[in-house]
Amino acid sequence: MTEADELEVIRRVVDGDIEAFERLVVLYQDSLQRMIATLLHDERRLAEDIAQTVLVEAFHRLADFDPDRSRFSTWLFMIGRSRALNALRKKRPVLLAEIPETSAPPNDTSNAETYALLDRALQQLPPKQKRAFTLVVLEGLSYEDASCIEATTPGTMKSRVSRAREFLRASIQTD
Amino acid sequence: MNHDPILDPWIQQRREIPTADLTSKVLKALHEESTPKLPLRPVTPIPRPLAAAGCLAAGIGKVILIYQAAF
Repeated sequence: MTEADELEVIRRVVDGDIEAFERLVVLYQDSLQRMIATLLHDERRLAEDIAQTVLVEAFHRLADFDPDRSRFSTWLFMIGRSRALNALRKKRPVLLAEIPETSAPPNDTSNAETYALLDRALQQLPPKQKRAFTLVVLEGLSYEDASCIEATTPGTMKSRVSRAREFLRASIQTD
Repeated sequence: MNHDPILDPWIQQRREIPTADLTSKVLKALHEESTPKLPLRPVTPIPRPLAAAGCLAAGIGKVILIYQAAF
């Protein structure tokens, strides 16, 4: 869907066409769920519930969305980030041993071990680096869009992503 | 971005983690919220003439009962 198509769908939804919102849900539900799950230490079930709440909230607040200020995806991810962080504050701290290994099991064992180490290292990243890595690298947002979500500059996002990559690489080499 | 032989395959795996389809749940929630809730027990007002007839019948019934009890 082009950006113009997306804006047309948004206009229809704001005019009361609930069914048109389905197209936006289909388009963004996967990346939204994955982003929230990563921020919530890979708790996929909780991420699913929060993503659903976020999508309903986005529907109700859609009239507030300003296409001159951001893309729809950026605006949606902003709500998702905020709700995920709220949920994270309410939760007790997660012990490292409790963090599930989420990557699909690869064929050979050495890769499986490496992926498990990386999954855990991702959760050990400082929160800002983790969010930067999640938004830019895992979800493919531009540095500009990600910096808009994190209320910082694209340069800072680049630096956070770079440090996150270094940390992740080091986590495999030291273990 | 430079190719990273160590991180890239893992990143790809993370991007392929399956997610739930929330479409029907979200649309159901939106439809439920937009539909006015019906009261649990519909209250149908009794038409006035019927109500009046009911009261009259009850009154006559009482008079008959009192009459029977007295005689």
